[in-house]
Amino acid sequence: MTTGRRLFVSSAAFGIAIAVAYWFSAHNPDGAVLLGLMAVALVFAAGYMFVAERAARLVGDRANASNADASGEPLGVFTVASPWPITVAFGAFLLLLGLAIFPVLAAFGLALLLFGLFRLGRESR
Amino acid sequence: MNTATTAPSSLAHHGIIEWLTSTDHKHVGILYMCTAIFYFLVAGLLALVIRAQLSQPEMTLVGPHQYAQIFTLHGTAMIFLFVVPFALGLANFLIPLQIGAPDMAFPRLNAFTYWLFFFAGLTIFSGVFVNGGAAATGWYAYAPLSEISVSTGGGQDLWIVGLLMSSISGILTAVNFITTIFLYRAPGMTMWRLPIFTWEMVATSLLILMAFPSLAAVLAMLFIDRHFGGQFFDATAGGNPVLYQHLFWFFGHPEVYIMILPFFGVISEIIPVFSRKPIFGYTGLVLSAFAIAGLSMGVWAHHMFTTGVVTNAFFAAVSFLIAVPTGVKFFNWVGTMWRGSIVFTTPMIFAIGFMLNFLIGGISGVMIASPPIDFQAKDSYFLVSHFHYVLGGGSLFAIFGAIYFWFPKVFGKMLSERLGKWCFWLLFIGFNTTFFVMQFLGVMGMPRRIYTYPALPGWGNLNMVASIGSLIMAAGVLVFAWDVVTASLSRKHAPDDPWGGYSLEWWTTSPPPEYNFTSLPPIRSERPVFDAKHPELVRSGSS
Amino acid sequence: MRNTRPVLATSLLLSTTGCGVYALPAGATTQAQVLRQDWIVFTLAGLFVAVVVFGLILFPLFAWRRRSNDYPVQFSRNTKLELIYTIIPLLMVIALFAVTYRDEIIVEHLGAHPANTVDVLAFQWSWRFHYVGTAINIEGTPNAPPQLILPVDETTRINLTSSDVNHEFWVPAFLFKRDAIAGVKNSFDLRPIHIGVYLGRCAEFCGFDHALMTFTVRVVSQTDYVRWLRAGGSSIVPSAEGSTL
Ligand code: HEM
Ligand SMILES: [Cu+2]
Ligand SMILES: [Cu+2]
Repeated sequence: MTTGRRLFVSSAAFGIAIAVAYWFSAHNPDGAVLLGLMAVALVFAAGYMFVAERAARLVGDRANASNADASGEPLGVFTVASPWPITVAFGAFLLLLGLAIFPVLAAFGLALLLFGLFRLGRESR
Repeated sequence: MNTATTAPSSLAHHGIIEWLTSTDHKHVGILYMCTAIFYFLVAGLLALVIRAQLSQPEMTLVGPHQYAQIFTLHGTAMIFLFVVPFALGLANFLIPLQIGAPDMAFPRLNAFTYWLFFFAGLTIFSGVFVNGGAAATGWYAYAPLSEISVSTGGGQDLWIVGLLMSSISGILTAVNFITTIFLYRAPGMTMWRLPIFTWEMVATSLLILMAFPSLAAVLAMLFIDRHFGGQFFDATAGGNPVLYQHLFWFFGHPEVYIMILPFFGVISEIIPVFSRKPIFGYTGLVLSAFAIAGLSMGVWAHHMFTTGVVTNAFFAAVSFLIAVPTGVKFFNWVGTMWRGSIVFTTPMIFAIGFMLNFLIGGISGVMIASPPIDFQAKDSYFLVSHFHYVLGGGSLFAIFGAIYFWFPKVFGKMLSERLGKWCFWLLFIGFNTTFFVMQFLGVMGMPRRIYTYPALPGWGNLNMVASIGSLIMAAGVLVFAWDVVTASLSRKHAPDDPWGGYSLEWWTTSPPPEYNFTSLPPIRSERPVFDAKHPELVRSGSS
Repeated sequence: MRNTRPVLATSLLLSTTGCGVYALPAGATTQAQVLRQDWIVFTLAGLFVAVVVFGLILFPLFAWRRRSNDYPVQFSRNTKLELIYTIIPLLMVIALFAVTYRDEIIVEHLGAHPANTVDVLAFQWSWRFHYVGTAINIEGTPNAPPQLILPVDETTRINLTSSDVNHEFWVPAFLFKRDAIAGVKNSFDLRPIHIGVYLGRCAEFCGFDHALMTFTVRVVSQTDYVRWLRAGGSSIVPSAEGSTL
C-alpha cells in the first residue's frame, strides 16, 4: 500500500470509529450526522485511492530513484500567466456581493464567472 | 506535457499585470503572505483601539456599536485574513520547493484561490461603508443574534458572503496541496522523506477538507434565514439556535488546528537547522500531526460546555487526549536541541519564544477542556488570554520566525539580525505583559466583548498593564516594518543557503528561478541538502 | 464536607492563581466549593508541567550553546524514550479526566426537592426573575439591573431560558455560568453558603448593551427570605451583612 493510500484508509477507519463512538456515548443526532457525513466523505476518498492505480507507480515513491530514472516521467505542470483565474474570482465576488446587497450586480457577476470559467477550460485543454 | 518556455526573471521586474495574472506558485505565495501581513497590521491597529478603550474603567473613546464592529473585525481578520492565509501562502511558496516540483498541481486553480481570498477580505471590510456598519456579532456570529431580525444591517451579509468566499478558496487550496504532495514529488522524495512542514500541510489540508464544508453550510443556512425566509436557527419559528453552534464549531475547532499545525511545521524546520541536528523523532512528529488532526474533529462541543445540551464528558475526554500528541511535539523539539550545537539567530529565538508561549496557552487549554473550570473561564478574559497565547504567542511568533527564516529565500535579501532581536524582545515582553494579566482578569470575573466596565477592585490596574503591553508589541511591529523596508532597499544579496538549511528549497537560488530547480541533489533522507553538503556526516542506513 | 479541605491548598492557590483581589473568588456556593477544587488541582498540575517543560526547553539553550564549529552527533531517534513521553502525559490526562468527571456530576446534580425555584428569563438587555409558586417577578433594565434574592444554606433551582438571542447567566463568585438559549430550558441548583451581595452578568455577547446586562445576587438569611416572600417581594430586605461584590 502506498503511504497516501494508507493515510486515507486509516483516516476513513478513524472517521467511522469516532462517529460510532459518538453515537453511542453522546446520543446527539446533530453531531452524529456531522461525523457520519465526514466518515462517508473519508470512505469515498479511501475508495478513490484504491481505484487510482496511478499513484502506485510514482518515481517519487521509489526510495532509490535518481534524477536519471525520472527522464520521460511527468515532472509536474508548467503554466504561464493567465488572466482567467482573477476574472473568475472577480465574477464570484460580484455574484456574492450582489446576492448580499445589490441583485443586479449578481447577474453581471454570474455572467463574468461563467465566461471566465469557459475561457479557463479552453485554455487548460 | 508542456515544457519550460520562459526564461527565469527576477521579482523586481514584474509589473502589475504580471502579478495579476501570474500562476507561479511563488508569486501566489508571496501575494498571499503580503496580503495577510497587511490584514495583520489593520487588525493590530484595531486591537490597539480595543486596548485604549479598555485601559481604564468607563472610557468613552468608542461606543458600544463601534466597539462591537471593532472586535468582530479584529477577530475575523486575524483568523480568516491573517493566520490562515499566511499559512496557505507559506505552504504555496514552500511545498513545490520542498518536494522538488516545478509548481503546484493546479496552478490556475491556485491563482484563483488567492484572488477569491483577496476579494473575500475586501468584502468583509467593505461592511464599514454600508448603512449600519460592519458585522458586529463577533467572529462566530451566533444565531439568533446574527439573524436579520436582530442584525438588520448589510454588514452582516457582507461578512457572511466574504467568509463563504474564503471557505471555498480554502477547500480548493487544500485539494491542490494534497494532489501536489502525493503526485509531484521529485525522484527519491518518498512520503517518509518529506520535510515536516510539508507533512503538517498534508494534515492541515485534510482538516480543511473535513471542516470547511461545515462552515460553508452554516453560512449558507444563515444567509437563507436572512433573505429567503429560512427558519433554521429561529427558535420562535421552530428553528434551533443550538444547531448553529454545532455547525459552526464543527468547523471552528478544527480551524484552530488549521491555524497551528502549519506552524508546528515551521518550528520543526527551524529548530533542527539551528541545533545542527536532524529532527528528533521524525515518525512520531508525523504521526502526532495526524493524531491531532483526527482528534480535533471530535472536540467541537468543548465550545458548548455551558449550553447544557451536549455530552460534556465525551468532548472533555477527547480534548484532553489532544494534549498527548501535542506534548509529543514539544518533547521532540527538546530532543532535537538535546546535545545539539545551538545558535541564537532571529528565527531560532522566535521558535523558542513560540515554545514558551504556546506551552502557557496549551496548559490553559487543558484547564478549560475541563467543564468545571470552563464554567468560570468561558467567555471571560481567561479565555481571551488562552487563545491569544496559542494564536498570538504561538502562530504569530512562528510567523515571525518563518519570515526571518525564509525572507532571504523569498526575496533574496537578508533581514537584519540586530533589528530582528529588538523585534523579538519587544514582541515577547509586550505580548506577555498584555496577555498574562488577562488570566487574572478572567478568573476575577471580567467577561470578553464588553466595551466598558465599572471600577471594580483591581480591574483598572490589570487592564492598564495589558494596554501598556500592547503598546510595547506595537513598537516591536514597527521595528519589524523598518527592518523589512531597509532590507528591501539594500543592495546586499542574500546567499542561496544562509543558514545551512536541510530541505530542497535551500538547494536552489535565492530567489528561486521560474521553474524552481536547475538541478537536484540525490534524495536519500528528509534532509537532502545537508546530506549533499556534509557527506561525511550522513547517517548510515538512515531512511 | 469538601470545603473543610486543608488551608494549605487554598494558600497554594492564592500563590498560583493570584492573591488579594487578583484571584479566583473564594466560591460562595457549595457547588463553587467543588469547582474551586478543580481549579486547584488543574493549576497545580499545570504549574508542574510548566516547570518541567520550561526546564526542558531552557536547559539545552544554556548547556549546548554553539561554542565550536564542529557538528554534534547526528542522532535522531530513541523509541523507548518516545514511548515514555507519550505514556506519561496520557496517564496524567486520564487522571485529570477522572477528577473532572467526578466533579462535574456533583456540580450539575439536580436535587429532588429544591427549597425554592426561580425561572430566569434573559432578554436584550436585562433579566426577569420569577419566583415559582408566587407572584413575584423582578425585571430589570440595562440602567436599573435587577436583584436576585436567594436564601443562604438552602438549595434554589434556577430554570434558565432566553426570549431572544443567546445570553449567559454568570455569577463570578459562584464560579459558574450557564447559557440562556431560546427554546432550551437549562436547570441548575445553587446553594449559597455566605450572606452577601454578588455581582452577576451576561457573559455571551448579545448585542450592543451586552456590557450593561448585569444583575446582583443578594444572599439573605432564611428568615429574611421568608419575610421577603411573604411581603410579595416588595419589602426591602433589612440586613445586608458582609457585603461583597
Ligand atoms: C497584537 C496584539 C493583540 C492585541 C493587543 C489583541 C487584543 C485583543 C483583545 C483585547 C480582544 C478582546 C476583545 C473583547 O473581547 O472585547 C481580542 C479578541 C480577539 N483577538 Fe486579539 N489581540 C492581538 C492579537 C491577536 C492575534 C495575533 C490574533 C489571532 C491570530 C487575535 C485574535 C483574536 C480573536 C479571534 C479575538 C476574538 C474576537 C471576538 O470576540 O469575536 N488577536 N484581541
Ligand atoms: Cu476548540
Ligand atoms: Cu450578553
